[in-house]
Amino acid sequence: MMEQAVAQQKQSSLGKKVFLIFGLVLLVGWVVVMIVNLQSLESTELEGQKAPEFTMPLFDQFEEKEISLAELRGQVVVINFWASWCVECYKEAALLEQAWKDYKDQGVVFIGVDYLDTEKEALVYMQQYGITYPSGPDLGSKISRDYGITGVPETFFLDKNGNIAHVKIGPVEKAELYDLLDKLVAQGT
Amino acid sequence: MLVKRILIFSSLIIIFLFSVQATLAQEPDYDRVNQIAKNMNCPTCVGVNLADCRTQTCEQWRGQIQDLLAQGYSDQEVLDYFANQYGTQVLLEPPKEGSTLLLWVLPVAALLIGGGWVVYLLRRWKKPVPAAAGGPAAAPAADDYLKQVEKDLEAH
Repeated sequence: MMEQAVAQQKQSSLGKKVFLIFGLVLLVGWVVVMIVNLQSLESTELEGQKAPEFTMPLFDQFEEKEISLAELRGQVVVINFWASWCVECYKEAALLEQAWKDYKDQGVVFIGVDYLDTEKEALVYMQQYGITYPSGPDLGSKISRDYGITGVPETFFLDKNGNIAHVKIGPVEKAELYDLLDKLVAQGT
Repeated sequence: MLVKRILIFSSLIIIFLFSVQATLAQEPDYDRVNQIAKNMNCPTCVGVNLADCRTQTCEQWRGQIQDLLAQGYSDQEVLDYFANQYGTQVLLEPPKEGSTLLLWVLPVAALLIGGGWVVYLLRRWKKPVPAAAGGPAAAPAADDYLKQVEKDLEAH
């Protein structure tokens, strides 16, 4: 009788421990998932770091089918995130095209990453502002995620080594743009 | 002369009816567009359904749905297109895989374990440990003492 009671006691204590361990594992799992999901990368935190690699398909109007960042090493790269529905993007569209024309012979490449946009309207936008530098859709929003953009427009300036030298949130101004490009072009690899 | 006029007029009516039919066939109805849009999120707002959102982005996206339907896409194919183009986060119910799967599994597991714990507690509550055992808190501490008492009793 006495042994039975003690055994019952031990069994209940074991059950309690099992439940507690399960509960704890579950809680830790939950916290990990929440942290992973809530962890958001800020684009400006990438300054000074290696730019995330990507290969992006280009809109049909371009001769090349896709563009790969890895192949542009040794050149200054300007990555501009834009969308046809973005009113602020209109303000810098013509300027970016002009800068591209002014600097393309000095080893500067411009890339337009079209964010959450519909192709029909994107092509109209590009025609409207005469965009001729390589531009394409961000399939699956992967590039935007990797660069941690907070919205559009957002522009990343990469040095010749593929490091992010500067991040501009919002429309870029001419003086700032040309000043940055002059500095990056002057830098060695 | 009259017959000729009637023939021309009839032909015009027939052409008009055919063109109206062709237009209607190409224009998917807005209810279907909205029905699909209800299964998607506004890409630039938080917690707003694509069907209800009035931003330019969502206007364009609904237009895109309409274009895809006109091209013969099924409802599911439209959703797949958007998920592929912009990421699964645009879907109201993203596919249950990766960390999304954990978000589905963990609450269910928590509910099961929590429920099991409650059932376990209730059962214990209904079946109290016999008084002779000295209660749950006392038993482990009095373990050696009880063994000794049992031995003494057997000896007598």
